[in-house]
Amino acid sequence: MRKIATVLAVVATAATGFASNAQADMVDTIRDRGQLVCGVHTGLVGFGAPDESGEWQGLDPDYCRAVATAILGEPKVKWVPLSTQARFTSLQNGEIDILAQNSTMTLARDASLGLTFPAFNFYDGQGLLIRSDLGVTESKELDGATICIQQGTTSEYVIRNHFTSLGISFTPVVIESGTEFFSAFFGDRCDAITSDLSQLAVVRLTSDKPDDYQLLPDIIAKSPLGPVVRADDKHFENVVKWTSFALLTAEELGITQNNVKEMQASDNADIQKFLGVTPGVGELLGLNDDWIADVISTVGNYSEIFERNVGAGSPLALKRGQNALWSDGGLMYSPLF
Amino acid sequence: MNLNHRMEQLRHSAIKAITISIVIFFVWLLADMVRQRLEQMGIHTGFDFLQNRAGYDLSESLINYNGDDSYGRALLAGFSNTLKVAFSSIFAAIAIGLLAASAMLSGHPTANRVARLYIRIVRNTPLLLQLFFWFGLFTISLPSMRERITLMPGVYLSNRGLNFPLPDLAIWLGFAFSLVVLTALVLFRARLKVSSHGSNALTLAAYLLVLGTVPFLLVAGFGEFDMPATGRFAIKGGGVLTPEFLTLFIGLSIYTGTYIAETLRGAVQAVARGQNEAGASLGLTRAQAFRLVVLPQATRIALPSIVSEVLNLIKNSSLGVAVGYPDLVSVGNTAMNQTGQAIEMIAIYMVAYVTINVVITKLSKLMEARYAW
Repeated sequence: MRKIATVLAVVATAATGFASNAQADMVDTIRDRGQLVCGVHTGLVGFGAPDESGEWQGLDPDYCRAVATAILGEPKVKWVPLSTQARFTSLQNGEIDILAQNSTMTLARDASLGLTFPAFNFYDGQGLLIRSDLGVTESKELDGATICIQQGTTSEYVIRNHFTSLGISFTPVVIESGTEFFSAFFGDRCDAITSDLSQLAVVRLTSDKPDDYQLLPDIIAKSPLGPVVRADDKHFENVVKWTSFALLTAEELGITQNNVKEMQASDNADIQKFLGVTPGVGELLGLNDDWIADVISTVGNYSEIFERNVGAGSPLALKRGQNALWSDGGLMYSPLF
Repeated sequence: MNLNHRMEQLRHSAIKAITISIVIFFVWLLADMVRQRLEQMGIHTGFDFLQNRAGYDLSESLINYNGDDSYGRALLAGFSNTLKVAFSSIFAAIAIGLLAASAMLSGHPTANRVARLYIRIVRNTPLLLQLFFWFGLFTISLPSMRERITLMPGVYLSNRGLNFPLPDLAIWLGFAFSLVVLTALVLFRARLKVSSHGSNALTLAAYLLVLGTVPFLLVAGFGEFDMPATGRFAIKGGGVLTPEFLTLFIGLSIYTGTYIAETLRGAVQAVARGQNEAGASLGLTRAQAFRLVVLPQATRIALPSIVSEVLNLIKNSSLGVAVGYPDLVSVGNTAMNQTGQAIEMIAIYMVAYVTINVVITKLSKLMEARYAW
């Protein structure tokens, strides 16, 4: 009888423990832990791939470093590589704090998963990569083709809508694992693969013979990419959002990784507040006033991050294009600090 | 005495009822708590997403399905694919297992060695790696569509799969009719042999029917085959066995075949030696003794293990998601990604696999009853 009573009591406590899970403030949790847990790509050159020492390098990891520096003062990050299948569930159940894994914002992901996209760090589009010897110049000519699609991405329904609107059909082959997905294409299982243009550019460059493959000029769909956080913590969401905007504003103001100290000596009142010389920029977010100065001296501004990882300073050599500042004709626009 | 017995029965039923209601209560409490927590986090719950438009096609499906149908229908299509690969693999696995077991029991040293080697290699590697191996083999070693191998007119082998002509309804009926006549011929052959004269003509007529129905239908134009036609990118028309299906089929059959072979070998060797000798003493040949005395006893011993292996095979078919075969788990994963309803989808998987397994277990119980004495 005593045993039964104990068992019931334990089960009851466990059950109630479940319910009364008060959500602690993420920023405090990260400070206590001393580390930001960042979900990243398993291996996509330029956007998130491990280097020889096991540290993740790329556009998205640099954003995680920026957020970690904003909160902790140093880029202390724990990297958790995730597949496209598991990434959102990992974020939902708290395994990671922030997901920086080339994720496209869609209505379903924003509204029904309990997650939110604070800001975009790369405006991309979806495209098709084909073998050059097929003699195809645009996607209209791919009637009846076999197209490999990676599971867990928006590509699956986007490509179907595109082909239906063109009035042609195709056969999909849906593969979960990233490596099998690419090897199916290079092994000629399918005529084309579809994914974000930046990813296709990487795939093409890292293949044995890049000239045998070409990107079709069609941009099938928009693909705004950005980090993702849980929707129930407004404070952390604001920190991530305004870190992203700080990187853009730094580029607008001409503040780079190397001239932060110099710029701090400026007599422009906006720059003084921006870089923490005069108080005010940190207080409303619960951060130190020099958080932006720390972030920029650690990772640089947006153009430095872009050029270093995916632009002129990297093997991908992507142009800024849509990712240029609004003043240069692009889409990157930061509100006022 | 009677009263004590009744009191005890009452007490047992009361304990049973109370325990079951406590368990149900806690399960319900847990489910409710999970649902509340999900709603708190802003995650949508409920099964009503199954009616929404799916928006994605499948590379193959046994039932008619296209992207404009609902998620529910997509899951059914995936389920039909799971059943297709699972049941074809079960027969192939049992055939391979029988072959390997016979090789090991035959007494020929080479056959024995080959079978043992096969079992040792296949059993000790993870199934997922074997599937990747077969998938790589099919995609790399098979020629591209332009250089396809033509096995027979209308049968093409390439890295897009094995294309074959598909019979239409009239030819299917013709095949069915021929099969029925052939079965009747085999079953009643004994009867036909006993009664002598008219039987020869009857047998001849039966053979003609079996061999001649389908060609007659073709020639007379009542039925035709849907021939595969090569297009610019793909072979359209006809039926196709995709490399993904072949990968799963061959991978699962070969892998499960090893376990079935070992089970059968153990079962035959478990039947006491005395049975063979008893059979010999009755004047039965070795083959007759095996078929009439040893095999029924061995089957009884082997049946539970073989049923376990069959259930394992069905669950292993969910690895199709790794090689691009649109089985239930693969199709459901896509739905899960698009709608975010992970818990509901996993619940659907569990119900589907439990249902198949319960049905097979029930069937196996019937078979076991047949072999019990």
